[in-house]
Amino acid sequence: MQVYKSWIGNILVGANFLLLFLAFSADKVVLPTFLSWTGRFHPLLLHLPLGITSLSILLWLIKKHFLADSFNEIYDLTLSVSAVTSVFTALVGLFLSKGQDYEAVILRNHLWSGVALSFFSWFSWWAFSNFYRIKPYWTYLQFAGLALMTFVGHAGGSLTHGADYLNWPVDKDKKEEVPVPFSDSAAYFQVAIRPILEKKCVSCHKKEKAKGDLILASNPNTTANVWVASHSNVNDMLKEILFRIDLPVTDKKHMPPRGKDPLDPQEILILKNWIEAGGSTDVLLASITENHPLFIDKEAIINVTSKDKSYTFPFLSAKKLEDLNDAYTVVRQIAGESPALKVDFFISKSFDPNKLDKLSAAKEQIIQVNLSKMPLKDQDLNKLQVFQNLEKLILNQTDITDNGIRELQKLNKMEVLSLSGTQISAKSIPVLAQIKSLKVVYLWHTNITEAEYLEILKKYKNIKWYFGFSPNPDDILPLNGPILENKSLILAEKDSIRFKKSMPGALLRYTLDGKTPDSLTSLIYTKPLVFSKPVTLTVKVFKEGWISSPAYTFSFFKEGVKPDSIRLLTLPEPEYLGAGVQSISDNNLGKIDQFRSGNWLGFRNNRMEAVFRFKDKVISSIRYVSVHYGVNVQSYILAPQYVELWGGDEENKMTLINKKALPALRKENLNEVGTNAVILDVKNKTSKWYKVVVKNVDVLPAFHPGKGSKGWIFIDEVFFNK
Amino acid sequence: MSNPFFENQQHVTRRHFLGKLSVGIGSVALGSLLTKDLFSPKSLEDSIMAGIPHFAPKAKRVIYLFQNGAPSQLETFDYKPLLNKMVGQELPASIRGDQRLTGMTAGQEKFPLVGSKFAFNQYGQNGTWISEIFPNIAKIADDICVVKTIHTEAINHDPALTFFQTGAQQGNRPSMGAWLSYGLGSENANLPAYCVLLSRGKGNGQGVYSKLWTNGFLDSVHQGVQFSNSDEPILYLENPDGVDAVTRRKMLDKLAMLNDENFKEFGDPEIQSRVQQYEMAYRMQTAVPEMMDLSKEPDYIVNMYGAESMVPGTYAANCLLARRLSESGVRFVQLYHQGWDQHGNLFNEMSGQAMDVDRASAALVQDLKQRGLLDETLVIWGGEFGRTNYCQGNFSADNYGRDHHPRCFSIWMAGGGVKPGISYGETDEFGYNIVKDPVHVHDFHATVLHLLGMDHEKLIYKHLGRRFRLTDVAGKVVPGIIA
Repeated sequence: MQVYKSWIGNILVGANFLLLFLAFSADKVVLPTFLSWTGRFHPLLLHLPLGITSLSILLWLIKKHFLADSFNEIYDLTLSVSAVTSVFTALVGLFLSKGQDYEAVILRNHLWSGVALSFFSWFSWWAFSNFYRIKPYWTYLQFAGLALMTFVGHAGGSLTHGADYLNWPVDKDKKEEVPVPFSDSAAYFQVAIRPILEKKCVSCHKKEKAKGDLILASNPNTTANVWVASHSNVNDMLKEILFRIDLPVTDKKHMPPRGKDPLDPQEILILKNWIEAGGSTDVLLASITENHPLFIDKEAIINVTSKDKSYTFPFLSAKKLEDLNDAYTVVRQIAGESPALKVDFFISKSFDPNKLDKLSAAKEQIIQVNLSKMPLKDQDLNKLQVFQNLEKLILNQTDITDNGIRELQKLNKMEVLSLSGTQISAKSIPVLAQIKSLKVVYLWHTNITEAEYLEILKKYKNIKWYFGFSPNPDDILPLNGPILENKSLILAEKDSIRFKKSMPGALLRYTLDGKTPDSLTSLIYTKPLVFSKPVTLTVKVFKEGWISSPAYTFSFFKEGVKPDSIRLLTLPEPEYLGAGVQSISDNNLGKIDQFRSGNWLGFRNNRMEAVFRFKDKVISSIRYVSVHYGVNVQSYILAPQYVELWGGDEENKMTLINKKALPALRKENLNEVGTNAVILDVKNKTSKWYKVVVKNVDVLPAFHPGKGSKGWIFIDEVFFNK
Repeated sequence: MSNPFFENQQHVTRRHFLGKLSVGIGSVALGSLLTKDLFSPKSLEDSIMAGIPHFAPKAKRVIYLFQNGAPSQLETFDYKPLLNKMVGQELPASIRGDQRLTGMTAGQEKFPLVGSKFAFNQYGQNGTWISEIFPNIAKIADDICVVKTIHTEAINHDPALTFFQTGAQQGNRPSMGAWLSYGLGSENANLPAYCVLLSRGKGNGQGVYSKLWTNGFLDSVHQGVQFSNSDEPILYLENPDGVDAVTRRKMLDKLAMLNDENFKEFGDPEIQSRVQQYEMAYRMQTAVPEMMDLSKEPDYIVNMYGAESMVPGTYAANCLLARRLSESGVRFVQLYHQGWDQHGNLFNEMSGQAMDVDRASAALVQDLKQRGLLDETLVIWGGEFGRTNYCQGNFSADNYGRDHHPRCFSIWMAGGGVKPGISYGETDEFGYNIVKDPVHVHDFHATVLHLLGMDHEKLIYKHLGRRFRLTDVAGKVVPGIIA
């Protein structure tokens, strides 16, 4: 045992003095690689003195449970191991501190207190066997050691985990710094940039740590408002920051480094824009006007900071929240994490002002209420007063008037108020202006006149007033055409022609002769029209203060007598076979912009020849035949060259009854698209058999893109009318 | 020799078991104090079902004015004077790079550049470039955010449209509106959460079909409801002739009783949801006429949207209807205006298309604004891809056409937490490639979801053993356009 003790004694002397020496000359020490590697064992070794020193204190406190001799032996051994591990821990700790940039002040405290602890442990071991006069104070001495050890440990913990790591835990919310208020005299840097730097950069780039020689700190020599960087050239530093925050996160040089709280995209953008705009710390918010490169960021930051509120009132229980909802009243949290609620009312018929009373169960939580279109009266407005946290209130198209507005004055957190479409007049404006919190008021379509608008805008500048759209008397717009209500242009026996006005107060005028209706003399449409014959209406819509609509032409057909059989003597072109004979007898008119649809038969190489047979009883009643065709000149679809009507009592003995030639294409009609009809009278001849021949244009004229080639005809329907 | 005491120790009696267990349970209980959600495990899907946004949303509703067929960015928002200077010259190979061509121009020997025949001007406080075909949209330049650097992966209409709507080119995934309906639910239980309105311009058109507003693998309640172009926007909603509201109510009540009997017997939850659907349809009979009612609005609302807004089925009428739907709490209103596919005859067709949409689109934004609703309603205007800077087909001085171009195109957004009055992103002088701040379709989706308070990585649905998202495995929120 004696040999052991003398070895221990020697080691402790050597090691402690080495420690003391190195601690004094710490700045100048240059470590061989091997030793700096042993530094890595500091976090491991430190647990030994920590545990053994504590054990020794424990042993001392319970020593009466031991036999005196064995206690002395055990206690002595414990103290010796404690002293040895302490000194070696301190040594490797010192090695570790080299080559790493820890915060200087904390490092110094840790180092010297560590040295002190090592000496203390050494002294304890020696004193226990040799310095009897200290025995009465031994307990105090041990607790002093414990205190010292706590201090060392605290400093060490702060070194590795950050200065406030071992502080008493505080709720982060409560600790939040007061942000620099948005006043025009505040610097953009203070409001926008500094908070980001403080949150994400300063923990490594401050005086005590200064990673990469970058210090972002307030300059004590000037007002606290100015921040400086230690770099000799501020511009280089800014460039470097810009470069590094913009690198991909995976890049080694990206800042903040992996493991640290990263910058979010918004923050990167704000920093980037600021550096690109010169990176000045002095620019005042007031000087960032609309054309300033930082204007958009400024607006955004002001918005974000004012919008992202956290609410301190408690959550409403799920049960209570559910009770407030019904099919016409929707009460929802504004977000999952937020206790704040918004309320929407729907379906005016189901609205009952007493529902507002029911909502007072959530009077604290409700911050938005939308009552638009509800039959809300002035006397109901006082029910809103309980919602003391109300920020946004929408009362569009309710029945409220100036008399009720006073009730809103007590809502002293209200920021947005929408009164569009109500009977509010300018009288309410001074009342509203007294609500200090109010920021935006919407007043479109109220009783406020244009002159009053301008006055209000001038007088109450703290609030944004929106008056919205009002029609400009110089802005004259064209009217739409009439809306035909008939589903089909083919009229059955008693069908009438019905138009709908596409504009309240408009006049529909029409002609039957194909001329464009005028606004004075043409017939006025007042009730559904009934005609006994096919008719072509030209219709136009007029209204004062509007440009009249273009003229629209509608050709109506009377539903024909259905032939008993139809046969095509010539074939349409294979790609436009339609539905065969069905297409020309289904009482369904096609649209020429859909000439590929089954409604049309297209002919080009053949003229159309179709034979129709009738039963005896109807033959005498047929008076005329109409052939409905389409025109789309650019697509080579032209009106027929001529149409022939043949008739007879036997199929092979028909004679020509009537023939109509149509005018040739004219240059001004080159873009014509539409449908039309050729009507052929049967000239009082009764026939059992009819043949209709429609001939296409043989040669397209020179001014047509397809000059020289054959024209198409598209035939849709052939009517035999009484 | 057995030792009774030892043996007793060996056996764990119930008393022992419970006695020991109490300590164990005690410590588990202690531990559970620190893990709050241990006994109420909530999966991501469960929390989605609650229909509450992940964080405070900027936008509550979306109106998407889809310009179907892909309007040319070069004639609308992306001003490229260089193209006018270089008219007729060949597109430099260095600019085109390895961009694939459509079948329509792949055989073309020359790619002559062509500039916009429409003049451009700067509008608003930030000088947003807007073409003369949009005089009314120019007036709201301070309210809109033009994104010039949207880009997509598809080069033809169907896949590009499907990609924009569902986040995948192949289809059968849920559409954006369906995702929102799934994630946020309906605001107004009396109307569908996702409505679709169609209109058609005179320009060369491309089809739209119900797969674009599909619910995909989500519950079919999230499917878009297509409105008809008539006075009666929702078909089969009215009571049949001779049935009045009282009779209908009685019938529904009796039916509900029968269904309830059935439910008691079988316990199938589908029965109850069917009853709820009947009830919703009944309430819609009140909700829809009220929504369509214009009597409380001034006549000059027609001046605002244009006279066409009185003709059902037009784009203007749909814009007005969209505003009313949105105002009534419909989460997602999707418009499609067909006719923007200008492979030829671009000048005439675009003029016509612009006439259709300009006044009404601008009116919609203004109208929302004057009701205090623009800040909570996100309006999006745009097509499925852009158009080439070179001419398709025969190039002549007064007529030209443009082919499909996926690398860059312009859309605009307004309201709903979008930065107003800015142009975002830059394309090169040729209007062919993006040089700054690209926004992929996935990024666009992520951003829209973000504005609605949803984390696009958390809005998921498990299907076929995999969790799906609107943005699939990509997408980044674009902070530059968020206010």
